[in-house]
Amino acid sequence: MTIKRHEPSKILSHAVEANGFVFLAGITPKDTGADIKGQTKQVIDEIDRLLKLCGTDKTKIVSATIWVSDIRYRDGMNEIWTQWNGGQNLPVRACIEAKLADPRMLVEIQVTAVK
Amino acid sequence: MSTGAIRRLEPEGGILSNVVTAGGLLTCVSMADDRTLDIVGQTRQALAYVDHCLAAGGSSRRHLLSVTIWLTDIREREAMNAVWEEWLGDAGRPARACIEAKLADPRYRIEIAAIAAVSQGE
Repeated sequence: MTIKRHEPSKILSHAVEANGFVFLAGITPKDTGADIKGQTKQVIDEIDRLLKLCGTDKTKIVSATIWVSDIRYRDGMNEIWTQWNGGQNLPVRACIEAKLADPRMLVEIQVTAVK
Repeated sequence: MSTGAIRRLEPEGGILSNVVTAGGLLTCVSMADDRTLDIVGQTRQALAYVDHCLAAGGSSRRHLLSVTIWLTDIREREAMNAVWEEWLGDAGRPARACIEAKLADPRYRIEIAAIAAVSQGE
């Protein structure tokens, strides 16, 4: 089985392809000054970019885990989420509250897709 | 894609398997044995058990695809990362997410879940 690793850093690859699956890293926003909707949009744009890099797209996402720094951000995040996928091709999903790497980060999303 | 047989290895306490393989993929979970150790010691132990689980299922750290790491205190991320980098060495980096969460016992500092490719035949 060939494993293809994209955009590696010292600690992680941003996307890994194997066996027809695409695993993305937990994606966090770059501009942490934005509110929950702005941060969610940034994260989703980055997910779109990485999926494209791997030759797939948001319609092929099978699973998503979403961490928000305060579970009350769920509604704001969901608004952008639904705008993004249009309620179509919905993956299994879990959304939980967790402290993220930087306290200014309000959301982190990790998805797994197929090609 | 045929999923083939499902192998369940390293059963624990009648509640879970620490390793499951199916469809060319392996998934495993790991914590430290000694919950009195600090983040460095617990990370080393947890990663050693990941090695054990990967070997049991016919994979290795070079075949890691995706890893989720939960820390009891996210401020221990840098200390954990130093052990993580040393452990990975020149192996390709998996996708990864690291978040803070309360674990089963407050003395635990780290829990790891991993997905890897089964390497047999490669």
